[in-house]
Parts: sequence; C-alpha cells; structure tokens
Amino acid sequence: MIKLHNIQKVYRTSTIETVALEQINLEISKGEFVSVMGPSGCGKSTLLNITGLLDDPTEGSVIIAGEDGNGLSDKRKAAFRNRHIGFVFQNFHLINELNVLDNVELPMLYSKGITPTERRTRAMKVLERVGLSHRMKHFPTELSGGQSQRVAIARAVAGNPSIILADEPTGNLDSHNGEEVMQILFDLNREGTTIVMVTHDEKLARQTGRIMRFFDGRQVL
Amino acid sequence: MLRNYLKIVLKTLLHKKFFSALNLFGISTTVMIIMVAALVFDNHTAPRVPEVYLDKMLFVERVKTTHGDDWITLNGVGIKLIDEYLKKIEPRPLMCASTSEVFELYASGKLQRKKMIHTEPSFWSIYRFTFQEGRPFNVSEFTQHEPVVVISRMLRDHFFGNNVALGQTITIRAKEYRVIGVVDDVPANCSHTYADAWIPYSAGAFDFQDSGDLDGGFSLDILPVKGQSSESIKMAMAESIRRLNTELRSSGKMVIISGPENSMELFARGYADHTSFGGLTDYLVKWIGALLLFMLLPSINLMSLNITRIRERASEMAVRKAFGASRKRLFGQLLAENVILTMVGGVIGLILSIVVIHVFSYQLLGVEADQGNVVLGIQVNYYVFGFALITCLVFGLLSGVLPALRMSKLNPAEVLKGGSK
Repeated sequence: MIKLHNIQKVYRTSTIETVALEQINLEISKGEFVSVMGPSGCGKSTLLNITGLLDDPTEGSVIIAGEDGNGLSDKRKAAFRNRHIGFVFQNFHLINELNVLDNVELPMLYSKGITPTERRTRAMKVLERVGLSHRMKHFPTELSGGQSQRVAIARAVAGNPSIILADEPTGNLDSHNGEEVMQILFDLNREGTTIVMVTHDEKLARQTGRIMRFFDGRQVL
Repeated sequence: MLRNYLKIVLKTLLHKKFFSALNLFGISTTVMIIMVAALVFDNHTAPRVPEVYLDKMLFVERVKTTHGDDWITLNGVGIKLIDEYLKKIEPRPLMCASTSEVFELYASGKLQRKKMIHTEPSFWSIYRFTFQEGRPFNVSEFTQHEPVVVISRMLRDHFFGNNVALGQTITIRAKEYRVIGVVDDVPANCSHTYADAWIPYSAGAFDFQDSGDLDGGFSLDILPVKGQSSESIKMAMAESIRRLNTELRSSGKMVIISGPENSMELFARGYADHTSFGGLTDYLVKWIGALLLFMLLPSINLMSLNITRIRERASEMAVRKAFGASRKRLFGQLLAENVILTMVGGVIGLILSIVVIHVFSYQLLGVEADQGNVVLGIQVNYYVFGFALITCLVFGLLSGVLPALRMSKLNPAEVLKGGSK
C-alpha cells in the first residue's frame, strides 16, 4: 500500500544543512495499523508529511497505491491526496469560520462527482459515527478538545480514503478522550483502513499492529 | 463551492470587525470617489435630451488675443469672429452662437436666480427640445430683432399657472418678451442648454452684433453635418484663424481660439489651466493616470492588509491543501473571496456615491443653490453602474492577486507542524 524507498530529507538554509530523514526504506501493507515513535525532532512528522505527499523528499521515492507520488504535478498530488489519504493532526486544524458539518464536508468539496446533497448526507453519517451528530451546527470554538479531534477524524474519513495519517492524534487530549479517539481509529482499521500514527505514547503504540522507531532521522527498529 | 466561499467571507468579516471596517471603508470610499468622478464626467460628456448629439459636437468657447509682447486677453468669442471667420468654412456645419445671462425672479417666497440663453435659430436644430406649447423662434424673428422668448415649463407655471402662456408677455431684466414656446425643463447638468428662457440674441438687452470685437461673451456650438469629420472642421477653422492673423499682423495682434473642442476636451479644460488651449488629450491621459494611481494606492494598502489577513489563515489553507485543494484552486478561492469582499465594499461605495450625489448635486454640477427648483438630472445610469462594477473587480483583483498567489504556494507541511486549534 505504502512504499518508501531510500528516502532522504534535508532542510537547507544559507548557513545550515539539517538532515531530517536518511536512508528510510519501509513498506506498509493494506489494512495495517502502524505506530511511528521516537523522540522529538527525530523526523516522525517529516516522514508523515512525505508519506502524505504534503512534502517532497530530497531523494528517494514514495509509492502509494501503486503510484509514484514524486512524479505528480501539484494538481494531481492534490487529487491523489483527496482520493486516498485522510489526515488527523495533533492540533486538530479545524476551520473556525466553518461549522462542524461544513468542516467535515471539506474534503468532498474537492472530490469530483459528489453532489451537495450527497456531501451533506455523508458528512452527517460520519458525524453520527463519531457521536457528534448533535454538534453539527456548532463551531469549532464551541467544542472540547476530544470533540474537536473526533470532528477532525470525521473529516479525515468523510472522503472515504484508504489511508489515514494521524500525527499525535491524542497528544492534546486527556486519557479518557484519547481512548475514545483511539477506539474510533481501531474501528476504522478493523474495517480495512490503513493507518499510520505518530505517537509518543508507548502504551497506545503497543495496541497497534506494528511499531516503527526513529532516531536522528533514521529508522532504528 | 461558492456558498463555502461566501460563508468564509462573511465569517472573516464578522470575526475581524476592525479589519473589516477598515477594509470596507477603504474600498467604499475609493469606489465612491471614483463613482462620483465618473458620474460628473459622464454628466458632462454623455448625450442626453436636449443635448442628444453632444458626443458628435464641437465647441469654441475661448479666445486668447496677444497684443504684441505686452499683454494677453482671454475672453469668450465675439460675434464678429464667429460670423466673419469661424462660420466661413465649407462645407458648413450646423453652428449657433450663444451666450447666457442671469436674471432674478421672486418665487416660492424667495429671490431665485435663473438663467437666460441668448442664441440664434440654428440652436433649435442642434439641440432637441421637447415643446409643450408653441415653437422655437425662426430666422425671420431673429433678423427682425423681435423680442420673443421660449420659456421652460417651470417658468410658465410661475408666470401663468394653468393659463395659456403663448402670446403672453413676460418681463426679464426690464425688457418685455412675447412667449412663443414652452419647453420641458432642462436638467442643470446640460451645460450648453440649461436655462429657463431662450431668446434671440439679436433681441437682447445689449446690441451684441455691433460690438465689432473679435472677443466677447459668446461660445460657438458646432454640429458636423453628415459625413463631415471633426478633424476637417478643426482644420478649416484653423485656416480661418490663420487668415485672420495675417490680416491682423500690422496691428501686432494675434488670435488663438480654444479648439474647436469636443465635450471631453471641454470637460478636461474645466479642470485644467483655463489659459491653456492645447494638449488637452494629454491632460485627459494624465487624468486617467491619476485615477489609476488613486486606485493603486488603496489597492497596495489593501494588499498588505490582505497579506496579513491571509497569513492568519495559513492553517486553513494548509488544511485545504492537505485535503485535496490544488494551488490553482486555492488561488481561485482567495481571489474570489477578495472580489466578493471588494464587491461588498463596492455596493457600499455605490450607495454612498448616490447619497453624495444627492446631497452635493448643486456643488457637483456647479449650480448655485439660489437658482431654486432646478431639475438636476444627475443620476446613476447603467454605464456608470457598469463602471463601478468593473472598478470593484479591478480593485479586488489588484489587491488580491499577490496575496492569493503567495498563500497558494505555501508549504502545508510547514504550517501544519505547529499552529493552534
């Protein structure tokens, strides 16, 4: 499903060169739930961004669902992300100016062939699934952290992607809300969604199918 | 999609009230000023009843006479110059010499100043008045110096109420005139025809024809005949003036006339140096340049405000990108939002301009308030409304393109690293 070959990512300024990732080779199969762990600054988020085609590697190739992401134009990358990938961020990144329902509809705005009615129905369905159908007319500023993250997950899955990339989805939540969010992710994974999750929480990571550990930009285990 | 954009625009407007107020104030004020300027321009240059051929017409309004190296006089045109030189061109266009005077009238409990035009029969062929009663004065009445007058409906109502006006006598500036026609009131923005009484200049209080001067108080209105170009008239008149100056050489005098100018040049000269008779097209170009500059300055200001505003929305843009919005799509969204915002400002500006036009119409038209119940005639027409829409669009695009371009190119990975809820 996901194949990263010889990935290197170097950030260059006029004076400093920082190697964020080096010699990364990994494969993630369809339906896997993989945790990415490591200390801060080890390159976990960079890996997730490269995997999600949000960032380009300095070297190496990213193959997702049989397609080489490196060779795609900005437009095709955007379409590819829209079709195959859903993102969940630690800081939720909901759009405060839009209500919950509109936030969840967002990925479908960029999908071809979905009518406004269909968009609305699907968004309502996923909100029901994450237990927030009663909050759909509320704005993100009116939600708790747990609720915001559940909306963010609803948004990530609304477009029916095969892959979810989650960057510390429970990082800003208390244990109770964290467990609720993880439960939703586990359910999605059981239904066949491939999930790659960056986390600092060893306990959570152990519940996933596989752990990949990183240190100083290299995969160590 | 558009609903989504509208929601974002509305929310952004309400969310950042100070910024929104500042933004909308800038746009609406600029649009208002441009609109008022466009309206004033349009009202001076666009054809309308009775000046239906205004766009084809030419005018000679000023004469500059140099008396050797000693002194220069600047005046209106004299009848001698008109009759003996300017009218002696072939083929002869329709031409009429006119001058105006103010007379006072006690009406509605106060003293009102009204305008009277002294002209000649061809005036009625060049301009298309709507006669309520009677007819215009003819060549015979003109040559016989008959004291006849055509009056406006307003003046008819004042003097005669519901009674018949034709054949009655009115006194203007201590001279009696027989009413031979009543026309619809003329809007005050028709600067060549606006008056309440029109009389043959031969019957006026002054003996204009005998003055014998080349300069005087007249202007010459010219309507080219079919197939005749403005250029050919200008060239023919220039030739007449050359002939005149040859004759004047021994006296050390030299005459220069303004134009003949079209309505646009006439308008431009009204805002330029009155003594300058040349380079008016250049002046118009400068005027349009100043207008563009006037638009550019708030655009730059708006652009910097937009950059700040859009920067605050970097997280939203990054999220949209992550979920499938291409660079082109984001650029389009931001531009559309900006155009919508500018359009809102434009509508406010349009309303403001209508208010300003109604409140300051006398000043804008150069009509004195003591002229009483004048028909002002200045109004927003489709042409000016279209101009306002295009102005808003250009304004929105000018101020939105750069910020939108910058934001659409942002790297979502960098933005999504941090950020807030």
